Amino acid sequence: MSFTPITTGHYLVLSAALLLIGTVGLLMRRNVIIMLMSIELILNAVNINLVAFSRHWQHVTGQVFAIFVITVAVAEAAVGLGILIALFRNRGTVLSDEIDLLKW
Amino acid sequence: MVNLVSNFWWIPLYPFIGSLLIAILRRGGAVIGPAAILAAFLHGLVVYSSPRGGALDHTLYQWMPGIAFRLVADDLSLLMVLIITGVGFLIHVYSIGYMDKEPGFWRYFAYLNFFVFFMLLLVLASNLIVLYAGWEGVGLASYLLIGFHHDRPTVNRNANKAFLYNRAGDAGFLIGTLILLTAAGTTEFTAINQLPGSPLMLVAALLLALAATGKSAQLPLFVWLPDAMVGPTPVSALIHAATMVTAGIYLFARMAPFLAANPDAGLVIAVIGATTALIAATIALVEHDIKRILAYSTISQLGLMFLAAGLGATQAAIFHVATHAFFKALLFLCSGNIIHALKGEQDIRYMGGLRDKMPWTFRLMVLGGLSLAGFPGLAGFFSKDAILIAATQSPILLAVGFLVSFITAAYVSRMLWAVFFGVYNREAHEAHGTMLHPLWPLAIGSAIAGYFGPHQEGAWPIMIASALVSIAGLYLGRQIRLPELLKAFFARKWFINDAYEVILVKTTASRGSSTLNWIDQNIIDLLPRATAFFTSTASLISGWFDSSVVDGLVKTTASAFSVASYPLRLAQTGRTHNYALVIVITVAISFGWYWLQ
Repeated sequence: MSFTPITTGHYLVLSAALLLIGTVGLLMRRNVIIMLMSIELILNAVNINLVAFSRHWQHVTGQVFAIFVITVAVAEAAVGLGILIALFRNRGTVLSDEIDLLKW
Repeated sequence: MVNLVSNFWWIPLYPFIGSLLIAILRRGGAVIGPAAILAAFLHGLVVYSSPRGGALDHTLYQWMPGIAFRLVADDLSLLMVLIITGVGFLIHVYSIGYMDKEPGFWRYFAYLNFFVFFMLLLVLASNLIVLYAGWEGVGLASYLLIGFHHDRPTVNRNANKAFLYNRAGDAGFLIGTLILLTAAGTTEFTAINQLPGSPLMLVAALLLALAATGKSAQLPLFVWLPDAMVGPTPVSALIHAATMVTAGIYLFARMAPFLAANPDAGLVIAVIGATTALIAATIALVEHDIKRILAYSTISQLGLMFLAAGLGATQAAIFHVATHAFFKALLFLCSGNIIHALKGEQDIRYMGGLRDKMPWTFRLMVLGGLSLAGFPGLAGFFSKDAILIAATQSPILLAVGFLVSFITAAYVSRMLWAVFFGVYNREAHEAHGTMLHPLWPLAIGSAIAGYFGPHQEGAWPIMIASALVSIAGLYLGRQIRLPELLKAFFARKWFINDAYEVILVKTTASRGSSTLNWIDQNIIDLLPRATAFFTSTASLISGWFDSSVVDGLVKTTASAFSVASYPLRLAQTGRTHNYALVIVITVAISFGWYWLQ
């Protein structure tokens, strides 16, 4: 059993896969919790991309940027879940296609 | 030291200030009231007794061209001032006792001073406009004082009656004054008295005579005076016997040359006076209310003064005004004592035998009555003679004059016998203090004032005849018996008052109210109705404009946007997935396009 070294290309494939999974999940699922999780997947795909290029170019900026993205993602998750709880209390549902009042 | 003579125009100010003071303080009427009149009297006496050298005049201010607020003091006006303030002072003092414990005591004195102010203004006026101010002022004061006991039944009606009959005359005064103002350019008596006679002047003179018949209670406007007797008795004495009702005669005296230039007017006045004198005297013969007897007597005596003034004998008329002021005020105040003693009883049928109970009032009233009846030697005798001598110009008027004298003596006798002699049937007490002492000067005047009158030449036959008529009347009047029909006719006041009631009051009340109703419905209401119609029409138009044009613009704009935005609105589904899909597709297209570049 031989192991090929993990190259930057592998990371990019993983990242692209996660982005694809996240995007499809976001568009296909109607449970808002799942949608938030899909957004996390998308963000983490970006993070992997950043860290991969940081390692590839031996440059620290990508890692710092990944830390920022994680921080923003945490804030986003907190706010998103807060809204979700308020929504559930008021409407008794977390299905996004039943929440369509915000239109003209 | 101020010059009282040249400042004669202060005379009306004393009662004016007195009236204001009493009205403001609401007390002190018994002190301020008589004091103000006494001050005016003393001032008048100083001016009257000082050498003046013709008429004094004083212009307070020029109102408009030809009309000045101007006062004049000559013998005539000063004599009237002395009568008004002299008799007025005594009656003020008398009122202190008579009105004692009446509610509104201060109000009474404020009114009374107010009256004296306007009366003084009236006699001191140097032109018709100022005289008119006084003329209306005394009418108002008279109204207020007749209606003094406004809480008693019929008092308000009678006060209104007096005021309205006076108004009827005052309208004549105003029109006459305006005619004279147009003709002469001024209403100063000095100018008017120089106007030549003409038909227009005759009309003016007759209009002023109409005014005088209102104020001096002559035909056709005399019916208010007997009803004015519901006022307090001192008021009847001062206003409705001694002063205000003589204003008409004063006016004739003041305008004597003007009347002389229009002799037809004088004749009308004389005939009115003679007729009124006769009618009023006959009514007094059958009247039972002591004050109304004296009221009709006043009307009758004023008729005699009209007779004299109309015939040009203004001196005789004013002489009778002066003596009449004394004895009629005396008679009224004596009757006031009797009414006061009998607790408000005024019907002579319920009196009698008061001679022993009220000895001083008895003596004073007999003196006043004899003076009124023209008993030889007393004041009324001389002044009535002066009038009769003036009447010798016309045999008919002379005969009426003698007839009136006879009836006067008869009703005086009837009244005095009914009140003081016969059977005593009521408890009574003699008046004293302020209700007795003011009568002495009046009694002295009633007795001796005749000796200060104008000198009469060759009057002996008239004087003797008059004396005989007077004594005969006094004797026969003691127990007079008239035929029942005549008595009823007189007692109904010759149906004059009834005729006025039917013709004027009832007709005015019924026809007038329906006419007024019609006017109200059809003319007065036209204005609000038209306004309402225009308002509703205008609001209809503006409402249509608002809902169609203004709202139309707004709604059109809104619906235009609404229609135009319809396709765009379809994109706004409200579903998160749609938006997310749009984002993803957009990103995909953007990157795809980037790669294809």
